[in-house]
Amino acid sequence: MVLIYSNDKKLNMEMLSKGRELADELGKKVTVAVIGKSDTDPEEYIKQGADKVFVADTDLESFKVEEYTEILAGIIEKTGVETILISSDKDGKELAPRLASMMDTGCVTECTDVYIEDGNVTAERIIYSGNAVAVERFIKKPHILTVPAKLFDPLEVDDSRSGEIINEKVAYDESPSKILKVQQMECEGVNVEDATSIVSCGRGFKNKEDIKLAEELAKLLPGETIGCSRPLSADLKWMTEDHWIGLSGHKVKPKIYIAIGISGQIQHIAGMRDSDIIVAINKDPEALIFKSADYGVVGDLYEVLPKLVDTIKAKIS
Amino acid sequence: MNIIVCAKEVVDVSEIKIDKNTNKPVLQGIDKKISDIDKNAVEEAVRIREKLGGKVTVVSVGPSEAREYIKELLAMGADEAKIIPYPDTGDYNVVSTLLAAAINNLEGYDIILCGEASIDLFSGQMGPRLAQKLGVPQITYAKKIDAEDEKLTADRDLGDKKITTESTYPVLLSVTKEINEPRLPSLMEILGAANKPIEVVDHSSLVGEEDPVIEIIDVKGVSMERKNIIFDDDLDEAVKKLVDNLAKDGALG
Amino acid sequence: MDFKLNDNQKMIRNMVRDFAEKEIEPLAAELDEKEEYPHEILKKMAGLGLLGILVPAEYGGAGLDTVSYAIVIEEISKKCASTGVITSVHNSLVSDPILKYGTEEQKKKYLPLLAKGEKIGAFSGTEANAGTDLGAMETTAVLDGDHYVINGSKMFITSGSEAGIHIVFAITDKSAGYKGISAFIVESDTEGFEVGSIFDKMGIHASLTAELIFEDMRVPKENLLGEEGEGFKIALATLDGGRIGIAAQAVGIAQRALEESIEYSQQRQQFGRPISKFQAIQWKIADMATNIEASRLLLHRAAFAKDQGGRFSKEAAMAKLFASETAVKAALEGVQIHGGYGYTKEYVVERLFRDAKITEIYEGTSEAQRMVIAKNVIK
Repeated sequence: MVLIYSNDKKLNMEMLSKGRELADELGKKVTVAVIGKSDTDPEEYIKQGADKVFVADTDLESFKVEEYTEILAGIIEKTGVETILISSDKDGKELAPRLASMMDTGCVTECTDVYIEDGNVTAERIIYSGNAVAVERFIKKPHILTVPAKLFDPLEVDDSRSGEIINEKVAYDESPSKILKVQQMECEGVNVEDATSIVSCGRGFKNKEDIKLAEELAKLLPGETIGCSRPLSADLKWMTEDHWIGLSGHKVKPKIYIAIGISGQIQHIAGMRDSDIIVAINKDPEALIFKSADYGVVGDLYEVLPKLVDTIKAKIS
Repeated sequence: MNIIVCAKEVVDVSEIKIDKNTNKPVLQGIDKKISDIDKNAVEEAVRIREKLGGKVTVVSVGPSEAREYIKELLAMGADEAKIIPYPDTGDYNVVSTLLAAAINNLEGYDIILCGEASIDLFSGQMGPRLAQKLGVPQITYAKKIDAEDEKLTADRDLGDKKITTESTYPVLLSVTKEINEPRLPSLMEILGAANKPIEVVDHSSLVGEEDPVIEIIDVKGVSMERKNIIFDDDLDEAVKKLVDNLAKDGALG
Repeated sequence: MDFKLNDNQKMIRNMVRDFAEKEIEPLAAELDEKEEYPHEILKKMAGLGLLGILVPAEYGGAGLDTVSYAIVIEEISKKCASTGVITSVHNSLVSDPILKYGTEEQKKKYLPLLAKGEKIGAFSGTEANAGTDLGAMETTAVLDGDHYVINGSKMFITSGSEAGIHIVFAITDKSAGYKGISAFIVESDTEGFEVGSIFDKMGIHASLTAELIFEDMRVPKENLLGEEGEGFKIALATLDGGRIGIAAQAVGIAQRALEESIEYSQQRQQFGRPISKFQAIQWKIADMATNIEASRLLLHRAAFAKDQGGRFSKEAAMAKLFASETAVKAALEGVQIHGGYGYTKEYVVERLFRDAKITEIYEGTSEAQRMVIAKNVIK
């Protein structure tokens, strides 16, 4: 049996489609686990591929890893599932290994692919900052995997499907840690992960105001999306975190990625290497970014950007 | 305050190249180092000790040659280190079991610090696994820690939200790179590190033979072939050529 | 025989490499262009103990071995040859002779100031007419009660305008020839100490090189370094140590030229492939690498000999001679490999080319090194 868990409905739907495929191949069933309050009618999961929905009642207000691990372990025990797909968001990535540890079993985080090979659940993930892919095979059950968003497309809604909905309380111990405060981060609602073009800014910009030079360029491209490297978001706070592209930030794959004043540390490259075309603008001819670029212009961004904007305007008009 | 820091020796991923014939990453002869974010964990541990007193112990599972790099952490201010030699098979369950056993053999602990993930495999599993094995709460992705005598609070960076969590001791935290800037040790601190104890602990003295739960059956290189066309002539000319090429590639919408 | 660095030396190399990458490299081009002294960098280096490398812990230093010292100077010079020579002069031409020849009072007073970087050191020996022939100096020191009164001028003094503590050489007894020269510890705020012009140099722009003028400069008697008449001996012995620093600076410059050349040759495409695939480039790089390796071995051998005690003039001269000539060749080939780009200030090899040449000149020209070597081997 395959179990799906995320506290995000959309991610559940995406994982359900993969879970359905795995379960069919193994001749098993798919269960979605719902912990705590949820706005989603469990029937919706049934209609998009689940055989069973296990709703665990709790008094917990929101996700809390120690307690959720125990609840999920309880569900696994009750349902006897063997393969568990958990969403690879921050909550899922701290939940899955703790759960795996509790069950003394294997876990593969941030899978880029999951499949059955020789009857074994096998998963791939990116290692060495994007230089390699590891293929990992589970030796022991249950198998625990975390799946990033948008890796799989959800199934069509099928109103004819039916399944079982279980409501049950699962016991857990209270953790000695508690959440004091949850603050929504100031965020401009930019979705770099879905952008088709990104103009990305780095330390080469001397002042926050100068970012508008990049915005001028972005305006000429579909989506008008601005991204940035780690220092501009994490250190200087010139841009909110939804702009941050890199290993610890967002991973993007636009048609065109223009890196301006970005030196090209491997952590940044890991976040944008799947872009179709990469353009680098940097005044240091030896900047690492040029090694990862299709096209590069060596020059001061303060000179290059206005020229580039004018030239593109002339070209597309 | 007894503070434990888990650290791992890794290959310097920025030096990895892909062998075009075998399509495998070439790891032989590549420089090793302590995983970057583990140094942030050590820095944070030393800062907490500077504030509250106590001791910082580094625990590392990895080759015994890691000693050379572990010494850097002692130079940064950690007080002692334990190395548990064990081959890196990518089986986090075994490694976390070893770490937990080694930590339980110590005189007690209040805070355990890990990096958010190691820079080689970046799976981020060790912190949560170890916390579970030790039966302590975990505070992951910490980018600010305020430790006091009886409890600590930490700000967790989850991208779209920031969560402030409080915990009594013992507690495990995994830190992000943003939490601090690891110090460079001075020459005097480097020399002083030579007198700090590093104990090599045989894994068989900690736990019996552990069955693996996962195996890495293949590692495939991902080559990143780019055109690498650099326009470094006159700026007007360079920009013109760039735009021409982008238009030709259909990249201008 | 063991050619491996020990754990401490490796840690020191890694630390200085990290430091130089983070704190020196980003500033080096600008300091060169503006001919600015690296005050901020030196302040940070002091915090890491890099300004008291050879000074024992009791005087506030790190008390390291000379091989470690050579490693530090090489790593710093790789990113900025100017900062390299400032550090070398400070450590080996100023702190070292005070340590070796100073009285306990002098050591207690001056070494902590130098080791903690509160004062930078300069070695004020060279004069307009006294370069390799130091004996031809004209600056005089005359005892007057509790003070020596020093008159004269000095040329080409590294950090001359910035240093707080100078080792000044002057004639105390004209009739005694070489044995009439004495060494003094002079604080730059002494009345009569003047900075003349700053020289407009080909390279090492960030290490300000000054002319100094002494006019009735009264230096307390207790600031005589060693005995009266020991100055020439002190100068020669000190320069032996200094040459290890300059050899290390040269190895740093050469190593950087090699690294830049390898990287550029793998990136630069001509005739449809990276130029590193052409034998013409490969041979240049192979020669650079071999000469650098040989230089470094000579350097570490000389540093080791210094730590063993006894004389090491020949070893230091050989290391300095070979390393400096290697640096000049490597920088020259580095520019050649970079082609037209190497001739522009966009690429660091241009600076390396200008910086390298001085290593064949100061602290004893290549000709002077050959003199020293010949004197030691033809007996």
